[in-house]
Amino acid sequence: MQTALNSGEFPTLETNFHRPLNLTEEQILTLAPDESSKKSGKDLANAAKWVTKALSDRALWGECQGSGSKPYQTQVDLTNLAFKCSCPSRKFPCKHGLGLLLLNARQPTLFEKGDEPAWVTEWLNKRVEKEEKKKEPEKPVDEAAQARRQQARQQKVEDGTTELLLWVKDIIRGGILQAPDKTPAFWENMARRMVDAQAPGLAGMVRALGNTSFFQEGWQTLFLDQLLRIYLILSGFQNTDQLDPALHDDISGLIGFTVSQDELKEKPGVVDNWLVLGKRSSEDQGLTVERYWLSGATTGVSALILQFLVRGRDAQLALTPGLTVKAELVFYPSAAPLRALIKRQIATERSDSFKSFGGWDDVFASGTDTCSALPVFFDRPYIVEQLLPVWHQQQWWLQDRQQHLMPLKENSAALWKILSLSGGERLNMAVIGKEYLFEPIGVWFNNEYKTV
Amino acid sequence: MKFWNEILHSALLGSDKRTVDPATLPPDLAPLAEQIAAETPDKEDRFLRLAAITFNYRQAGLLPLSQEGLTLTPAEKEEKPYCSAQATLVLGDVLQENNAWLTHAWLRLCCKNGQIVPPDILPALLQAGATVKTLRAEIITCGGKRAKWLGRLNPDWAFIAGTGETKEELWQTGSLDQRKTILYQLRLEDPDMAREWLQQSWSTEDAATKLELLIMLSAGHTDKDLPFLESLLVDKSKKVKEQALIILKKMPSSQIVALYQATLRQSLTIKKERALLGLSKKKSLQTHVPEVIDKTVFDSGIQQLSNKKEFTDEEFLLYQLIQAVPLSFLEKEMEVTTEELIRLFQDDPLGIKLFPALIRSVLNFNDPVRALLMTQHSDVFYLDLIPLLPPAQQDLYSIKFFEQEPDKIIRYAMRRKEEWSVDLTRLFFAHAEKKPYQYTRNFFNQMIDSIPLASIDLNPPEPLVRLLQLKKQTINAFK
Repeated sequence: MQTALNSGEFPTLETNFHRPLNLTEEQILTLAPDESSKKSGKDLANAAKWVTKALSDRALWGECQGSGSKPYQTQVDLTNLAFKCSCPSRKFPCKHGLGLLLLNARQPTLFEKGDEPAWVTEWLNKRVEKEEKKKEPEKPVDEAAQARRQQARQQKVEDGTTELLLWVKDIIRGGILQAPDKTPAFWENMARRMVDAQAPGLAGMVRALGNTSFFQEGWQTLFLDQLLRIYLILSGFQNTDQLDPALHDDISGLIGFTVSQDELKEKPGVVDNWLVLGKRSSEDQGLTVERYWLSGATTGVSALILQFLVRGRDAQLALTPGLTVKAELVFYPSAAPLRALIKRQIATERSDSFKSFGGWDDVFASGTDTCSALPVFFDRPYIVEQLLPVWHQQQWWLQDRQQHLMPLKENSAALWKILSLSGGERLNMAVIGKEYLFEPIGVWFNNEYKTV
Repeated sequence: MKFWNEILHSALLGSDKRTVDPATLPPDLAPLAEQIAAETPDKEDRFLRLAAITFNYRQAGLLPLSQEGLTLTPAEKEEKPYCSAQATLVLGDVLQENNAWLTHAWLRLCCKNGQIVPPDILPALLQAGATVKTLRAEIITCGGKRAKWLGRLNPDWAFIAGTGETKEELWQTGSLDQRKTILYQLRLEDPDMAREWLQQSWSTEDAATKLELLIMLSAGHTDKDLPFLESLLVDKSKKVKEQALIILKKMPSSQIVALYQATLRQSLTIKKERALLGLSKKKSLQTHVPEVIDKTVFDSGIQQLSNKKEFTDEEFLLYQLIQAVPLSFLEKEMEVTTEELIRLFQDDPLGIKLFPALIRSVLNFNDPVRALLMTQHSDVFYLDLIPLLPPAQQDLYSIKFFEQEPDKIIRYAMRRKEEWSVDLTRLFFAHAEKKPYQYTRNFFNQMIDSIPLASIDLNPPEPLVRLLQLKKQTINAFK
């Protein structure tokens, strides 16, 4: 169903029927753990596949006829988007959950409002109970044993950092010009040494150093930057007693010391309407890391939520780019906080408000603030107002209203979608990056946030 | 950033060979550099400390590039409405499926509804057009002004922006491929104009181009082509001569067909005999091939000696001549109707042998009326006749003989523009199930246009289910 269209007017779906969260198909599909789930989910968005389907104010549920004799019971928590299904799949959400949401998005009139069956009520109540339980105190820990373990680890890390510093100095002594000729084992051996030294953060940074694209123009700066980041962390660790406590936490985190999520959740968080700007996934040896970039509509604070999936399973979060999550976020201790976790999710909704930077000057000023507090920092999200793609010196740039330019990442997949949506007009845009390297992740088009 | 280049230069060569010249560092860093030099005896440490500070100085003091006057000409406002959000989603799915046939179907409906594609999905559609040339004409119509604007920015999508040249200009200055396409399209729309264009440029073309363009002229020939085509029989290029002759052999009014007719008139007649005590007349074929036959007949490709053991030389000559003349000629000469001609050949011992030549004549002269009569009056299955039949008859004929040649029938049916009947589709599904390695997803991708939506309830092969759903969604999205 669609509204009548004027010339060139962008179509919108009628919304005079109840649609949970008003999720678009595109948004629902971003929840899928992989391409095959997307495809199967679409196939299941077919009324004929569902024996029953209904909704209440807080949930959507249905019974899907699978290959077994008994239909699978699929349910979706609409307050804080979550899925449960009786199928054997360990993917999250499973194809049935996606199919049910997609069917509801396509044909909402098929879903009648009804009383929740026992299996839905039971699950929803359990979720509430679980939330309550989280607040209860844990059993006491053996503090003496814990201190012994921490001391042993501290010693291992100290030994590891000393070894790594010598390795860094060796590279500097010989010159980084020799770096492209090093064998993969040169980098991997040191990364493993860092794993043995219980410094997995440093191990990852050493691997990233070895993975520098030595064929790329300007590799020298990329390589030296990464080497100096490692050096800064090592120096920070050696001079930890002189550091500001927040910076000390950053150094610990970068080395690989973990922070107890339960302890974090004890701390007060930031309650805001968090707009999910985008999601980026990367996979390495079966471990998928999902990065969700968020921006607080009221506070203007940026956040990065990480989710780790082993072979595409065990996901807990279902954040949809374009939607706003009303939640309390607790930030990991840092001199320039970015990484956070969701302490309490209150609701998921659509919202048009956001806080933005007026132009590239403001973005750089923010970058200066960040690096003055935390010299080792990585990509951050920014919402920049009224950007226009322009062609200059044989490449595309993003021009702000003050005629300041930022080069668009070469071969950015988003370029043509941005150009198409822009049509030569300025757009509010969400970008992630740092220094002179930013990549667009979404734009506001006809007052709607679209990922690119 | 001169100071950073100094750091980089030292890093590249190594601290054993080069140290940073403090004079090149920004004045802000000078006191720190002095302090580091005084405090740090180890040269690697010294470099790393100085470089780390400079690294942070660099990233803290960035300024954006400023350039006045850069702009991007905005796209023109659209005049047509966008298709619905639902249709856009379906297009996304169709493009993801990478199925040109479904994309065609979607674009056809969008064009028919006078709508255009919204900007968020245009890049994906234009990319599909860059790969699949056959989609381009519809993309030009459905892409709206935004697509043309994008085409001017992306060389891969230049096809949509167009060259601004007219067909005639392109015919005169375009590449061979462009000229062939234009000639072929014009031949279908205005056959005489197409021939005239070719005649005008003929003397300036080289032999290879002449041949390529002449092949394009094979479609939709008319009697007005005869003088031009017959003049080519004396062309310098052997291949051009041969191609002209191929076309002329399909034209009933050509001199070569007239020569075949004259030869056949002398060689084959009907003998009428009284039968059943004079109550009825029995007709039989009589052969009397003349001893001397015009040499041109043989020069044009007719074989003098039989290359089939079941045919004598005389019979083989007749076989070739019959297939080279239209059946209307035989009917007129023998004063019979098509049905009588078929019966005459079926009842005569020689006629039975020569019967396939009748079929070949029907195919050669593209004769749908007689093709239908052939299928109605013969129990033998002639696969090649299928494309000449009307769609409903194609279905009936294919169903009737499906068990004999299922794979070949499916191949012919795929060439049709119309959807198959449900009955034919049912037979196909049953056959495809038996040969899963032959009828794969790739095969179904190419045939989704032919499969009717009603067949979704016939338990289609698994890969077809998704395609049929998309086809259904495409149709529903434009309802």
